Amino acid sequence: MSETNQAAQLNEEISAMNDLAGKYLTFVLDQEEYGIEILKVREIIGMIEVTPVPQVPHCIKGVINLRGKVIPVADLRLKFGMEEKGYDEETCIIVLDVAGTLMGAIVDTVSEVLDVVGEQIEPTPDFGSRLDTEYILGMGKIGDKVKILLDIDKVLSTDEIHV
Amino acid sequence: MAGLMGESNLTVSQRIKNISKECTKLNWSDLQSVARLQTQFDETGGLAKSEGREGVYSICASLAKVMEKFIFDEIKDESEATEVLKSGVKTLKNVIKQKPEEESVQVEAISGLMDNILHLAGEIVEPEGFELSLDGGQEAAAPEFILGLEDMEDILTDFLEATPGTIDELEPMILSYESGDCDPEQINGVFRTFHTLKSESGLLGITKFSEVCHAAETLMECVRDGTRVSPRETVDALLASLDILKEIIRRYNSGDRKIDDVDVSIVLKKILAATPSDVSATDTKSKKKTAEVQPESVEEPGSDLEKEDAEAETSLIADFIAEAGEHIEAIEEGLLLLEANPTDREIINEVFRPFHTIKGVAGFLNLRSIGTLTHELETLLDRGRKGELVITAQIVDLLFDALDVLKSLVSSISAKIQGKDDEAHEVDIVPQLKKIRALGSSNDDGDRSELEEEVEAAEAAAEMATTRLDNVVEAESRSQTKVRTTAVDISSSIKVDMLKLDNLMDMVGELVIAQSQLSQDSTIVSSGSDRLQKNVSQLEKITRDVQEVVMSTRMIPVKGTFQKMARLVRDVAKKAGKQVDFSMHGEDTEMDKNVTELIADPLIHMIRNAVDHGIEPPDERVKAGKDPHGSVSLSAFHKGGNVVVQIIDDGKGLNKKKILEKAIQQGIVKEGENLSEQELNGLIFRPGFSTADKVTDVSGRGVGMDVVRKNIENLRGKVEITSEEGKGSVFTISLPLTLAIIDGMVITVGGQRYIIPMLSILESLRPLKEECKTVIQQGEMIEVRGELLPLIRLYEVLEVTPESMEPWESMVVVVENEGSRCCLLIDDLLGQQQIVIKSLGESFTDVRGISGGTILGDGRVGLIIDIGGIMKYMQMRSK
Repeated sequence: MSETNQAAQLNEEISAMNDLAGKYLTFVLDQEEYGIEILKVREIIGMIEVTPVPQVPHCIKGVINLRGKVIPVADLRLKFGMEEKGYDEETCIIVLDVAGTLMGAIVDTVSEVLDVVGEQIEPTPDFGSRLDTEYILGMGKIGDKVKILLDIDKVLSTDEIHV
Repeated sequence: MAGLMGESNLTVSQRIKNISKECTKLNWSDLQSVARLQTQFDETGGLAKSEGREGVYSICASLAKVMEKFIFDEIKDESEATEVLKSGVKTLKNVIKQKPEEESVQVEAISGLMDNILHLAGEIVEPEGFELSLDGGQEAAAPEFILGLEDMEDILTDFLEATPGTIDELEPMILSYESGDCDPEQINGVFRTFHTLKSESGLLGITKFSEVCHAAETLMECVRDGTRVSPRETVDALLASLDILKEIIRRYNSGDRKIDDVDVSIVLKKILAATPSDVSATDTKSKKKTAEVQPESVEEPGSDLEKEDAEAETSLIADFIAEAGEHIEAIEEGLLLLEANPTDREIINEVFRPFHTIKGVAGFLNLRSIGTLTHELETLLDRGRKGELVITAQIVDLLFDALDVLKSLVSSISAKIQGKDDEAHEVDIVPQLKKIRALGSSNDDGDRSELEEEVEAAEAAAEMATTRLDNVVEAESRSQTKVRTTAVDISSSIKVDMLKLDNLMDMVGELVIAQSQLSQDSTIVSSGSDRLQKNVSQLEKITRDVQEVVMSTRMIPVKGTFQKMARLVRDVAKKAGKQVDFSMHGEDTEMDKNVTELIADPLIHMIRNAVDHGIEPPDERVKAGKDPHGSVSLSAFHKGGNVVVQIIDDGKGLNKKKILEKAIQQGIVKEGENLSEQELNGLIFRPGFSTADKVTDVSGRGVGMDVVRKNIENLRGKVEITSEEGKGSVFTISLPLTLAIIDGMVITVGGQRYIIPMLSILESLRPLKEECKTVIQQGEMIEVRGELLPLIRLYEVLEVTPESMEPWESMVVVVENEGSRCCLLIDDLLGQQQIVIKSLGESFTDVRGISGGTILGDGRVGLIIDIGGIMKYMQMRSK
């Protein structure tokens, strides 16, 4: 790759990072902190009983009743290939608007709403083939902590959870 | 009586004054104003006729005719038309000054003029004449007129949207005329509708449409006036005209607007044939009615008719009041915007449209004061729109004031027709009209005398308006007792987004769950407080009421769908050469809107079959000792949480022998097999199964009944047939009340609850160990009463761990889908309940064996099992 190309790519990335600035809802999954664009979040509810649905991917725990609406919920731990953990008081379902449909995401716990500015966001490092980074928008460096900013539309896209 | 006569006289004369003014200003190239003038002549003529002023009537009618011919481009020469118009109006002015008693003399005196008009018109309408001069100036003017007006598109859109509905409404009325329930009110309704359609389409330049309407109107007029007509021919002609009108609308809607190849001449001929010859003979070539201009064909409407009219009018007025409220609101909103942006044409248009609508309807209902007021306002706004008048704050104020007057006019009418005379009050619109006129012409250099004359005209119009209103009310009070007891219910309605209703339904469902959780809460149950218990049960009652109301919002009467069938029976019967009496019962039965739409298709097939195959030809019926008239009845009623639709015919019934023969022939049934009556009758639902010896163009290919069953099963309904050879058949369709609610059996598998639709369940049982058999160590079967049925282990499909793997330790449900049966292994049955079906969303569309979800009594989601899906899934897996 030539140098000019690299520079252009860098510029592109910087402007892309600035586009990502905004408010994020952060949550914890297995000691790692993640962020979701706040505008995608509809509400946060405590863990409730989930009705399992057959023939769906492992990460889809089933459906819940959200005030009369039946919506699917996905366990993000399972989605990212982490170990399954029993649900407790801290476990939350984040209700998200994914391309017009409501969907729940089960997380260990919800932390806070953060205002992330463009300079704090860094492009996703290349982990090579070991790690699939297509769900990651960027890395937010806030203080000494790193928050992984998720492209939730991709994570929970209907193709991803489709049978 | 003399006094009343005098006042009415003023009404007509006032109109003539207005017309005379219009005439002096008339610009022949502005076809819209020509059309307006034509309508004015028409209306004035009608009014005069109702007062027995034949002379005025015939002049008006002939002048209207002249205008119409001009619009339809059959008169080329403006100066000639102007000449006729001038002399006509002059004569009118003279005639109107005479007392009605002396009018007959006058009629004779004016016959010279009449002849002139007719002669002129007759000469001009020579077909060669107008076809050869296609390059005339007017020819060019017409399209310009259509495209030139900026809001023509809007009017056209409105027209195209509203007309199909209007035409559909006409159909049942016309059919009821044929069946002999000749209700004068309905005939009038049909007549009026055709008239409205004619003027609207004429204005829009859809000539073919208005020609057909015109002819139909003429025919209806003969029917109304009791001139002898053949009902059969009339109805045929009218229905044919409706079809062609629909076709024209369809063409327009499809966007290409090419109706050149729509041939209306056949329909017109048909209508003309049905129209009594003494009425149509004079002018057959021009396909136009001339009945109007023949005083001798005019009949004084009977007083009964008038009364009927008044009643019909009352209900129309009630509708109008409800609509006017909405329009007034729209105007108010628009005016507020206009005040902020006085130069915005679009806003003026927004305000203009509702005024125009109110005017139109008011004119139609003869609510003169509203008509006059809105007309003035419309004129004012029109000038604003064209930029002739600057909209100042003063004008906006005036518009608001006028709107207030309009409001009080509407509320006064509303009070009157509801029989609350004490609340009705006289509304004087004269000052308002004066103001409008004064303002309207303030930045206009029109001459003073004309203005004065106009104000004078407006005053008189207002007076006349009050009179007219009184007339309406008076007509009303003639049937006073009736009106007082059944004071018209002005219920207004609003359009609501289906999504909002669905949301509301969801929330109510949650409310019910929350309420039941509350009332079963142990703290409350054991509290021992009477007051708390009472409050909780009160809450329960209210919740239930709310639920009921919300459910009912989606329900509409099945009437609309049924009425379409009436037409179908008629057409099919005619084609098949059969005589069929069609009757409907329970058409007010309410169903979910979707259901009423979706049953239309199956009903069409079944009714067709009943008429085409069921009912025998008349001679055969006579031979069999039956009435040559067959009867087909369609009824709807509620039965145990379901809606039942029944089609009963007294035809020849199903030929069971023939069905069996065909079935054996096609290899569906083995020879010697014993079939129950239901099974035998059910054979006719099989695809490709037909006993018809010949395929007619309506039925016989064996597709229809298959479609019927598929459609009804999609609606989660059932079809049953009972039939007796030689006596007829009964097709019974039972449907759920709404698509969203089904009867379900709650079962458990592996600790989870699922729902199986009750419709699919045949029975449930716990098999004995020796009744469970395996086939080649793989396929499992259970013997149920000597029959081997495949066993599906539901926990495998649902991917859960069951309490027991052995069928003889748990339960088995026998289910049926599309004729094939199987056993489902479950843990337990919990009980039957009504469930509201919810979709699982797009993400789960491919889940096999699950058709949806529902919210169970404790607020958790239960999945609904799709039996057909499960069977297919298992078949696939075994392969």
